[in-house]
Amino acid sequence: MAIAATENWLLEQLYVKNAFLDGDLHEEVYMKVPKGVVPQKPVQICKLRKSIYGLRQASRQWYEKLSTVLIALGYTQSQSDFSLFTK
Amino acid sequence: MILTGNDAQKIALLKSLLDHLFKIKDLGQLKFFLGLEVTRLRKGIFLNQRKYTLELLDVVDLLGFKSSNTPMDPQIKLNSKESHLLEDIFIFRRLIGQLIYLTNTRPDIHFVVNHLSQFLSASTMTHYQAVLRVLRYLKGNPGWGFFFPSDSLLQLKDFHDLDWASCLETYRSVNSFCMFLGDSLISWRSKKQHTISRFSSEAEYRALASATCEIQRLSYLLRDLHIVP
Repeated sequence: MAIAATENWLLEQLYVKNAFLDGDLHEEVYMKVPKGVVPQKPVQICKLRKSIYGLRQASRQWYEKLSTVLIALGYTQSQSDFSLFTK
Repeated sequence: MILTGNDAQKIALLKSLLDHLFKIKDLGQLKFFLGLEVTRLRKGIFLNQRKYTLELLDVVDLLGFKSSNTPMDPQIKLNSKESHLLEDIFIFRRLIGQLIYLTNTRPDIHFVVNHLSQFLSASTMTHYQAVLRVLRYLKGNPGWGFFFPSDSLLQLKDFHDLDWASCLETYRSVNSFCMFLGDSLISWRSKKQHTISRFSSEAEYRALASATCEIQRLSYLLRDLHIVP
């Protein structure tokens, strides 16, 4: 931010809606049928197709998704600060 | 997520790409990010945590207390050997946690917060009084923060020092450094050294080494930002 001040860079912020729902899952995760949904069979559980809030790997999967997308767009990930991407 | 750069078109392009992939909410100019308030002025950027500080002070009832000019009483030596432990230790721990987050924009309380956080397991009324002292200090100037002037040079500067064998219980030394990019403070630390130094020159070398590591890290970061200091 000190650099942004001297170089007169723009500073913008954005919010990714429901970011944790965008992550992909590598393993099979099942959950109980949520309340309010009537299962078609008496004993039924749900298999998750995407990441969901509350999962332990949710934040990691979102980070992985975002970094892959940014790198695909031609950005370079900083080696000294993994949450910094430059182009 | 924060975006920055000198090309408005490319930022807009990235935003539309991200919106296409993930659905984003554009919040425009950076103003409030994880409790940090950012104000852009013609002369530079101002950064503080005023709202966070006021909310922190709201939780503890400080109405009857006067604000204080300093965060710590130099006469009081804190130690962990007192016997009367605090009954409600959670308040103390929570306050320390909140103060640690506040050190993001308040290097002036960094030393005392670091010092107090060493007594989390055996905190007494004396420690709690010391935390209240910090809060009273914050009450006097809740809006203090950083100013990054726009006319500053992109040059790394380092100041570091140490207090030899200042920890009364372990006789270890305490390091500290402040790194500036031109006139803007960008990195600082106050930390107890890991080993005992028998000479003050030995401790000085350790302080120098840890400052050098930080300079190295910052120079890598600047290189990644395509800035040549």
